[in-house]
Amino acid sequence: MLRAHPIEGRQVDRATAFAALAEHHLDAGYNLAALILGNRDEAEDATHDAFVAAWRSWGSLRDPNRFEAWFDRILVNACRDRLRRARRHPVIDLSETLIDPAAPGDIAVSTAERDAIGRSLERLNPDQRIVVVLRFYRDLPVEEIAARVGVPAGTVKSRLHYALRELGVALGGRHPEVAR
Amino acid sequence: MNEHETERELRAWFAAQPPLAAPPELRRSVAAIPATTQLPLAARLAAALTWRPVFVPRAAWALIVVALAIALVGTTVYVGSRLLDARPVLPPAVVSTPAPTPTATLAGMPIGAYGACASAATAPITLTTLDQETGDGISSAIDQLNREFQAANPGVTIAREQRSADDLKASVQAALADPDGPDIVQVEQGREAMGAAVRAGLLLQLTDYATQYGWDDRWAPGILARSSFSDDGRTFGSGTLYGVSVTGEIVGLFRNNHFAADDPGRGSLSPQSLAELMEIFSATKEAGDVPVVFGAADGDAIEIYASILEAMVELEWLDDFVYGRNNVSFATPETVAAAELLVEMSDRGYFTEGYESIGHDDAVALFASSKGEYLWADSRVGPTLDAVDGVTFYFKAVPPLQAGDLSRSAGGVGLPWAIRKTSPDPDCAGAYLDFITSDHAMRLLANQGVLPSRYVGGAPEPMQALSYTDVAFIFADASTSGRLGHRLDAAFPTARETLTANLAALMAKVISPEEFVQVIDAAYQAYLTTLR
Repeated sequence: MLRAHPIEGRQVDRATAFAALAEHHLDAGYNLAALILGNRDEAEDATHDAFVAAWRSWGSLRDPNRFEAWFDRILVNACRDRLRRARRHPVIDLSETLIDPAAPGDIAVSTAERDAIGRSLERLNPDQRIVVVLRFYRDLPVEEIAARVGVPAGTVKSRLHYALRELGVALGGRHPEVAR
Repeated sequence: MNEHETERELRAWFAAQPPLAAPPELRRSVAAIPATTQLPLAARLAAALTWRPVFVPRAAWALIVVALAIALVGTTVYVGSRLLDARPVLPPAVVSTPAPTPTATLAGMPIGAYGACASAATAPITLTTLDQETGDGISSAIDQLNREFQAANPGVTIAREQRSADDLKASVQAALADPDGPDIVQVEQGREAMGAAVRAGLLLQLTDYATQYGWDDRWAPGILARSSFSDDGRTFGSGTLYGVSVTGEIVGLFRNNHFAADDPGRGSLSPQSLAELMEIFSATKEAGDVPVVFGAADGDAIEIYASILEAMVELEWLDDFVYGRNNVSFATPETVAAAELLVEMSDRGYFTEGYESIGHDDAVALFASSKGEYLWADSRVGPTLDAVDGVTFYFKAVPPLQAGDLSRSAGGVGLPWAIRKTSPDPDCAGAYLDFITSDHAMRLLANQGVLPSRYVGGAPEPMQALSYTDVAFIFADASTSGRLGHRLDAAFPTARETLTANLAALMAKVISPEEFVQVIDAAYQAYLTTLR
């Protein structure tokens, strides 16, 4: 059997490791992108772009155990770039495009509520939407979100606070504190 | 719906989302990436250095790697020495200052100032400060910080002198030139005050204190740039740091929630673009209310015009305009478009009737008494509004030009505090600047209802001061992400007077939007010629 050239062999090692991690994290990444972007096609493209970027910067990943956080950051950047490049509010409907009608599941909220929340998420700006998804979908603490988004923890808190206010207005029909 | 209810709804909604399986095409394309995507050159070189080709003998490979390392080190040393040669020469007292030892604590917080003022234990030091912070909240906060600094630095006395903004502006150069003058002085950003002081060699460079105390991590580069000049004082917005700011300010939209309570449907609107904001104003007008409480008599039109303009332009252009760089012109399509929108708002009756003769304080009072839905103003009116009984307010950033973009906010930081170059106690003065901009100081300011130059927490009590938290969070977001614009009246010495007079003429239709930008540009270009 011919022995692989060492450099090529290194490439093969990298490719094997990358493929294994990519396969393991593919669904999670795709779901995250879908919730941030609110559109399956966009999510597919963003996820692919993020994995390409991850492969190209593979050398910067020091610890394979940190792949998820490292890749999330790349993916979040890819999603943010897509939202900004669009230079308009994406035409999305989270309630219709994300939920597969054929998929079985215990849907806890009514369709009307679901639509309202989906629409209210559309109104958030990209940065707000990203921190909301990471906080309430991924259930990440603020510090972990800060690491993934690349901003100070205080900025994450402010974005979350402001996003919740926006959502409170959209869902409640009035500013949160008005009800006090 | 309050924040906790919103959080609960969100968690339920996300939990209800059925997991999606990645489409097979995506799965295939991701699996093929290593075979179809070439690694960048740097990655391939790294691989080559890490793994020895089998046809190269081990010893020869080691020599190659060593030779590469020597070449790399040599280049680094050469470049580093060139950079060091280019560094400005700092006063010996600053260069020789040892790092402070945090030996004292205040409310559990180490105070690095102690070491820098340690000599006061044998020879008492009096630090004289000169500032214009006469407002209730900020003034009492500074007094408290002074007491705390003295307590943490035995032998140090802070002698504080306050002057009105106009008095300080008129006397700051003389104070800095006085060999027995104040050690620490608030010096207005811009060429007229700070630039002139730098040119005259009156201000101490703060570079080493910034390094020593980690100020580069406290503020974003765009904030520090506002107090930076080249060493000859001619280039503004870059170079050496000469001051640090304690407070911040931001222009946005205060909203009177009386209107939301009356009409929850209208209250739910949250504009994502300038066009949507205009739609909201239109709906308010149709409902018979005043969309924007406004008084032009004290020059407040500048803030509205600046906000609209800053939503339209690239921030690089704005930096160039305010810093007087790259010979930019004010006559651009965006400056004309912003002027047109301001006139259109006036034509559509979105402003308080008779706004031409209404002053700033009167406009705030009208807004506080629910004579209109929005007040387009800077954050300094927040404490006044939060003190109003029976009505709540909130604060929003002016939306971007297009939905989906990130909003930019006109605003800035307060007058920076600087050190007189001939101060006999520069290290202790540096420690003082560090202390009044520490996390502890920022939180104390926030608790007094003052917007600090960086938000680290805290808020005035009681918590019905609702607009404060909005202001603080929006300022924190904008200032840490490079989206805090500028005040247009900082661009050249006569900017405020020139803009005020010509915005009035514009809104009265004495001049057209094109004529407005031409006359501003003429004044700006005349100013630029004085810089050459």
